[in-house]
Amino acid sequence: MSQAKSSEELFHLIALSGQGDRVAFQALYDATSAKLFGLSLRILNRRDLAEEALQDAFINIWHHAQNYRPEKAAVMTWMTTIVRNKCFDLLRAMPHESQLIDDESMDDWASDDLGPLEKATEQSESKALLNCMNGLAPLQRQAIALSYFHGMAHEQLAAHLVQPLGTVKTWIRRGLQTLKSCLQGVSA
Amino acid sequence: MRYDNKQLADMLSAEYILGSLKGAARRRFEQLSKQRPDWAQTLHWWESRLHLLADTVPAANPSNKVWKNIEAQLFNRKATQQASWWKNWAFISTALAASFATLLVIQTPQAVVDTKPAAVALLASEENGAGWFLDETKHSPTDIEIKVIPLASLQTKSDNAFELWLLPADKSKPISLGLLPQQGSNVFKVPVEVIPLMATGLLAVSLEPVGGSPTGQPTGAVLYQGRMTKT
Repeated sequence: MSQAKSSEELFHLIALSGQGDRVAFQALYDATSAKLFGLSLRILNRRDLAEEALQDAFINIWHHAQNYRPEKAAVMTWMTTIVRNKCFDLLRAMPHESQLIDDESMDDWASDDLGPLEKATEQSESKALLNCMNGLAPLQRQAIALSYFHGMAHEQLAAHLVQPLGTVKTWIRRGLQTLKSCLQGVSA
Repeated sequence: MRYDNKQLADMLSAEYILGSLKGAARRRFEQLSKQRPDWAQTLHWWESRLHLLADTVPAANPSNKVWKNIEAQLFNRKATQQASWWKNWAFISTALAASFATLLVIQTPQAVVDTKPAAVALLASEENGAGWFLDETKHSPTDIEIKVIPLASLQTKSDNAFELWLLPADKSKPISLGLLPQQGSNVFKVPVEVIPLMATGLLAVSLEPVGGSPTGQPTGAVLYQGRMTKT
């Protein structure tokens, strides 16, 4: 879709949307919907559901745009949270047998080559995060990604990865600690 | 002591954002991070970073009908809209599980539509006086909205939320209808499965922590009551 907009531009658009400016809201949709749809597609793995989640999320975004506080979260973070929550709502409401995980995309995280992930990544901050993720052991990385994209609890992760619960917990905790030190190095 | 452990705050915050922190632990963490600025700061640190994971997903274009539906819903533009079966499921899970049940807050339709007021209710009590006025609009038998208007006499509380419950006539568990605004009106959509219970059930407002009842059931004092009455 359109060129990625800077956070300042997005903030401007959301502030106007909060005042009821429909044109700004459409511009906000045009600027962010493709990335956010990619996210909902990754979580729900079904186009029809992903579109419903995106639709519901943007309706929510319009209604709550006036409550957006820049000091609390970047616009994209705020919108990502709303979209992800909508997706998880749908996921929870679905019968278990129809919950599909796109294992192939999750395997990207366990691979030594993060090239495909890097290619999709647009913002420089996200590239820094990916770079730090690269420093984790592949299985730590995958456990963290599975948790983020599928909202999996430790028990579900253990079942999905066929690993003892304790092992999975350790992967996640150690992975997060390594990630933290790495990210602090970046922002320092 | 335990809660001063920086590493604990770190791990809980990160796992809260990841989604692996669940159930009672998740709710306890939510409370704590609201009370403790240092925890809130840690949470914010992780939030602004872990959500960048979403940026590693390839962008994909949704079909044009998504924007058309959004426009139709928000600005009353025409579009084909079909609620699918799972959407009802989503509503059921939201209404019943509802730990942080805030029903989709829908803005008052600005255009004049062909609807008729169906019922009204006053949420009040002898002790606290009148709190809110509810005005139900029936668009169709399965599409009912309630406009909620806080009254000037409402004793607002900045440290708490007011949650609206339907107490079904058969004495089954209260169903959360969402949080009530303390200023400015809201419009709630009544979940389809709750519609048949509205006429006979009792409405009650309980005092809850900000964000709503952590358990999905009323936890605080019932401050106001009311009943929908046909106009």
